[in-house]
Amino acid sequence: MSEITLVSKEGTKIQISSQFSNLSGFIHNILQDYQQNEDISLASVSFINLQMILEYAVHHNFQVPQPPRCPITSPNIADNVSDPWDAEFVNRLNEDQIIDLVTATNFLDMKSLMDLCLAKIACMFKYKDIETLRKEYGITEEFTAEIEEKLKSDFPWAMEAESND
Amino acid sequence: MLLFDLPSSIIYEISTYLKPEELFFNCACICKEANKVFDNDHFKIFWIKNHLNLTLDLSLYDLKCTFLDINSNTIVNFKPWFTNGGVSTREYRNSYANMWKYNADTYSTYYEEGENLKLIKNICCTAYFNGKIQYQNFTDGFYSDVYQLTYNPESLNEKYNIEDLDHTKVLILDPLSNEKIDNYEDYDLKLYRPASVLNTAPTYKIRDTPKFPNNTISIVKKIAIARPVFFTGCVKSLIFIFSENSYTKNFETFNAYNDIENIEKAKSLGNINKIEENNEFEWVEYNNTGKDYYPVLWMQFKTWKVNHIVINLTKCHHPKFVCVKFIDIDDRRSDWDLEDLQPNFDITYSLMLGSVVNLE
Repeated sequence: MSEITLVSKEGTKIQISSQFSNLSGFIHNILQDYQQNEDISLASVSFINLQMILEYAVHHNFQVPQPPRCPITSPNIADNVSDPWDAEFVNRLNEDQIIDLVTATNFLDMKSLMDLCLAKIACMFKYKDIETLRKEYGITEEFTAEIEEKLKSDFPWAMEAESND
Repeated sequence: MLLFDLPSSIIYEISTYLKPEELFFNCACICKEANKVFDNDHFKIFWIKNHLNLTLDLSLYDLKCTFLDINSNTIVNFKPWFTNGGVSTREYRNSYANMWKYNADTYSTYYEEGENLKLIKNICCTAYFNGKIQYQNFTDGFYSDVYQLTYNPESLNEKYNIEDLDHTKVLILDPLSNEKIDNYEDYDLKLYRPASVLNTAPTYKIRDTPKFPNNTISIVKKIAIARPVFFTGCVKSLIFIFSENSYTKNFETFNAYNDIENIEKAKSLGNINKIEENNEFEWVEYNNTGKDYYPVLWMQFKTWKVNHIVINLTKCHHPKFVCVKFIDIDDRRSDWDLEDLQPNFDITYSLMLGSVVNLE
């Protein structure tokens, strides 16, 4: 078996190497009982996401790449991944698209791409103070001061701890 | 925020990429939705356990203390027990107890017969947890004074006005007393540690049965190893073996770990968690638990430029007993024209860094 047929939630069919199962736990399990020429329906994955997922898989030659640095050490995703292509790939997407892609990779049990997206989301929070974050997300709730006070008194362990990772 | 529409398991995953202050302070303050996600006990317990890779079920309070202790490099106290390494009862500075303490006094495995024996390799040094922590504040890189004396003595002479520096005495410098050094205008290395202390016999007692406290748990997340510079038999390769429920002075139990003198042999032990290889040191962390005695870490020094290392283990262990096996040495007798001395192992310390949890 060299190729399998994936069907997006819109019903669009895409053919891809069965080696895709190296990257997706979902596909790996399906292939245990796979009948040749059988379509694999991906009810939670849009065609756009499926295209991106396959682009990622082809770039990495269907092999699991090195995971991003954890914890991240810079707000720039390029500093946290070993392959610059990964950074360019995920930097093309806005927050909504990344979250969509996370949902799709979660459905496909595709840890490597999901980790890349999660690291990118974490980069959006890295080295940003509360005010910057609230401004970026357009949040105007008036509870910050009291919450800040509570967190300051509750979490000296988190404030003082300097991770050695 | 759309982000919080994601399943909680995915939000947990994102949180692992951030530092605690970013997560539990900045992120928790963004909005009510974020606060609800991050500011709850369930999430905090999950996050700390996951971050430390700790399997013990502890209260949130104990987890916070453990987290802080580990990040502060708190030294968990392991009491010296039995060794087949040859302990001198005459010299304080050769005491077996020294290798379990954060200090600059070297443990040297000299034998008292005075004969010129061959080096006995693969010796075992055992210790047991006694439910306490050491009071010294561990400072990563405390070795800098010795390092400076070794590699850049001129600058230190200038700083501390040391005349006629005797390189064979540099280890008398007590790293824990760095602050005091600045007070000495004429710093006399030879007089720094009183002679009476040097002659004090070791005071630790060997018990047939270790006295394990039953109301505490030791948690080990890091191992710090230091070896002296100007000694003849500085330890080169060593392996740490833990037990969570047993202890033994039958050292044949650990024969399977003899002669692991290179990283290929170390890798062949299998069940590897992490490997580090560079020009300064190499180490292999193992993933064995559950067995009575299981190897945790093998490491080897590769150069004289590095004599001190702190290894952050992938996961937390909670041992009651530890055996450190000295496998081989860098034989430096000829470097000091001391070929007639009997060969031995020299180590400054092997420390367990982590936390002690009181169960009461």
